[in-house]
Amino acid sequence: MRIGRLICREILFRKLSFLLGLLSVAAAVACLVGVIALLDNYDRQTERIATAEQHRVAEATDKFEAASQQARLAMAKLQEDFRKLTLTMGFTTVVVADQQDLGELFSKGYATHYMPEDYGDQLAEKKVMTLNHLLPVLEERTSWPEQHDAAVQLIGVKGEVWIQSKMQTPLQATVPAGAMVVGQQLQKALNLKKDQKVTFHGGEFTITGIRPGQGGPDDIGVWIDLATAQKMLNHPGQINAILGVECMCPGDRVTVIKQEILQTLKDVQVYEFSNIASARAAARRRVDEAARAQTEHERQNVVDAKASLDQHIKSRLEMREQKASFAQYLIPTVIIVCAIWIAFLAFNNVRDRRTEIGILRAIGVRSGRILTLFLGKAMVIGLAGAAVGFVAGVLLSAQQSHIAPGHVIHDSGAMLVKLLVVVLLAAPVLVLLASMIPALVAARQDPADILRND
Amino acid sequence: MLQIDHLCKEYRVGGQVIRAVDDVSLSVQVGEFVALVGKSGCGKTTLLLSAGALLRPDSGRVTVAGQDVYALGSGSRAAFRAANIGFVFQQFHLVPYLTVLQNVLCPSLATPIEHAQEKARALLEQMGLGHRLAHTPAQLSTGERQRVALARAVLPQPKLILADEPTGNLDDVSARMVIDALANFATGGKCVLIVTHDKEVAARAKRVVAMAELNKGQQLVSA
Repeated sequence: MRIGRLICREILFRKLSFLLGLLSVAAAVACLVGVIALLDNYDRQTERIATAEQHRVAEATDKFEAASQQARLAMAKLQEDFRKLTLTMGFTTVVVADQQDLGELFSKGYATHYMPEDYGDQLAEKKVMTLNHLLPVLEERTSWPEQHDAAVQLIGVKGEVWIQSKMQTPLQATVPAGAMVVGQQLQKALNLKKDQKVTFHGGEFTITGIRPGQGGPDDIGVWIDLATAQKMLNHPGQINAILGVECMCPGDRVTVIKQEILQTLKDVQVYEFSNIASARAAARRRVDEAARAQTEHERQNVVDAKASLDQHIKSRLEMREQKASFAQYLIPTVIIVCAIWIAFLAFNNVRDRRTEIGILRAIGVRSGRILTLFLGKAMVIGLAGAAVGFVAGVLLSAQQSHIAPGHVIHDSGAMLVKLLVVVLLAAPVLVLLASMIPALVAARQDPADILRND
Repeated sequence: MLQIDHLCKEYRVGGQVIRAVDDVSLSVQVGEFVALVGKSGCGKTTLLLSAGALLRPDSGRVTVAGQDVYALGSGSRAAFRAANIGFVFQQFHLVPYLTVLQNVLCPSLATPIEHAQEKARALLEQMGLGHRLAHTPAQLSTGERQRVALARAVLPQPKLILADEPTGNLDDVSARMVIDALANFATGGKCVLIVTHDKEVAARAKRVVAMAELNKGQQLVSA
């Protein structure tokens, strides 16, 4: 006869008492396991949500960066197109005296009012941002007496007075005194050749360059140095236009340019004289605006996604805090109630088995073995309760988390194994502690007292 | 075998002290079947429990097989009881969730018994309970229960059996079977002290001792 058999037989005999004990331990363990697994599931869900949201933020950031890159590329392309255009087009903007009649300007092809030569230098000193490649010119339609009075556009230049970047090369090279650059049409008409010595209005010149045809008055142009031209045209120290290349500024460019130029020169007016440049600039502006709008939209998406992520995570963390706080009170309460209930059941069991204890003690069973009888039963209740409670806790947490139990086991496997070990150790210890006093009472009962009174 | 010398035992009940056993001396020899008779409440059970090393007397000495039982510590006394003393009670005190065979084997929880299973089965066969081995006490008649209790007492082959009104709840046939068994046990080199108020049972004893004659006087000694 072994003590284990006695314990098993007694458990089978008093099934209800055993089941009540087991259920109370299972309830406490299920509560503990359920709450821990629930919080673990919750944390995993939060992680998943955070990952998904972060993915969304990353996608939005990627889109934003792609849009920015696309806008940069588009703008760079337009910039490059514009730069190439301006290279072929030459100057796009002209500054003339404010008394200049535009009808006369366009009909004659040159300005008829004059400005001091140093106007160009004044703008250069101010380092204007809206105009580049500033070229003061004195320009007039005249004839070439030595070449059968051929019509020419005489242009006196002294070189560009302002170039924004040192990397940029002048659109119009300086023409030194005694040198002459002619337009392609004029060169063809007069059969002029490079390095050819010519006489123009009595002056001796060497042709140093041929300007490619551009389909405008410049095709019959004669470029000589400004001082010589001023002398020939009898306008010493004067110019009638400052040519320039407009900036990439957004909005109404002419207005922007005027605003800057008029801060320095009060008596001038600014005109953009190239329609192609104007259309290109307008297109560039629209693309720029659209790109900026798209970039802003994508940037806003990134901001919204980040805000959504932060808000979501914050609210989940708050909810977790609430759950953990509730669990902090729930678990100890359930464990204490369970311990009291187990102690009550154990006392009841001792009372029910009073006679049994008496006779066993009478036939020589030592008090230590009586203690083992009761603590052994407590151990069985603890182990069985822990096992049942663990399964119930996992199922409960799965049900509360709205996920399949298999997923809970899969996702939290390592944690659950540790938790199982803990509850398989802790639950029997708890039940042993709760049953200790009743078991000691049983072991110390006086058999004579029992047998005499029964 | 059993020697009781000047045994005294008092109880405190509701602030009163009652001397249940007063200077009792009794000797039971090997092979004796002694009946202790007396009216209810005269201290028979107290004397029996003290003789069985279960109830420490206030004074006096109990010697079983030459051993002063109360000179032993609690654990040693339990071991001594397991090996040398068997008990049979009026209420049988069987363990309700164990089978007949398991109940008889209970002494093996306290002391190792060689071939306990075989001996237990043989004892139960001998007592006409061979067909009841797997039954629980609730499935037995009162006579059968007492025979199981008797088999449990006999299994470890104790030197002394103490029986407290063993036939009190039994019909004549069952009572006779139990008394026969006890008498047989005594003749096998052991001894039996039985407490009874049944004259027929007492008549079967080799010697009858009246508690009234042993007890110097049960009395209320203080209030």
